[in-house]
Amino acid sequence: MLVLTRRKGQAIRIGEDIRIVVTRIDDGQVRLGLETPAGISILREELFEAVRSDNQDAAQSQPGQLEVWLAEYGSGQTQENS
Amino acid sequence: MSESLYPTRFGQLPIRDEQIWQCSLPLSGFADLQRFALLHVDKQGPFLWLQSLDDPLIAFLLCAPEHFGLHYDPPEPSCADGVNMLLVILPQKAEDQLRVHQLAPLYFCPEQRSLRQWIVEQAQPASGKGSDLPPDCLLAHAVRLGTLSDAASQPGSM
Repeated sequence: MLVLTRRKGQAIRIGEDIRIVVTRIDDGQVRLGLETPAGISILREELFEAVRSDNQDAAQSQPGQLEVWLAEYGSGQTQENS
Repeated sequence: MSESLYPTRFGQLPIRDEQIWQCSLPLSGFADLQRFALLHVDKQGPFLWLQSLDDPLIAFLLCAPEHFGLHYDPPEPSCADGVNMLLVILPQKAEDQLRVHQLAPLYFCPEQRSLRQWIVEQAQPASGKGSDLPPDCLLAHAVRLGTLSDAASQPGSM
């Protein structure tokens, strides 16, 4: 992993199009500003991991499992959310 | 209109070009999956299967957010007749419950036959109930199957 030291107001660039600026350092937290081209997905890592994990879980659904679930519960029970 | 046979979780299926959806931004964790078909199995009500055409073993179950009491405004950029759907996660163990991936709906643009996953911090409550069938604009480009047992009996079923 590349590690760089930056102060408030300083920036780093990734390639030509991505700029990351340190906008605030306070009480153990760093606030970053990100300038990127449109279409680049930017997520906090914990949200990225949650999305990926639920995508993997969703890919485990088997066609036969839905038939079993429908036979047991019918379509009136679709109110449980993650 | 050309039609080709594709291996799927439901056996070999003939799928026409206009029934193929392109994923404009890959689903996280599935970067290699770009082409999909929507499958509707008779008697499975509002549920649709999003079958990968790049990996026949992967099919995601979808349902409209309203069935789970949720609503999502269109993301930016949006499209005419665009519709959000949620990935459904079926229970894998007896103590599990059916749930949906409410952080990351899939947004479908029927005219372009494109889809993408987008991330939301929080869904809104739905004002109404979902329909008994998937949205018409998706069904119009979906492959219709008979019962699951009919589909599974097709040559090459998995």
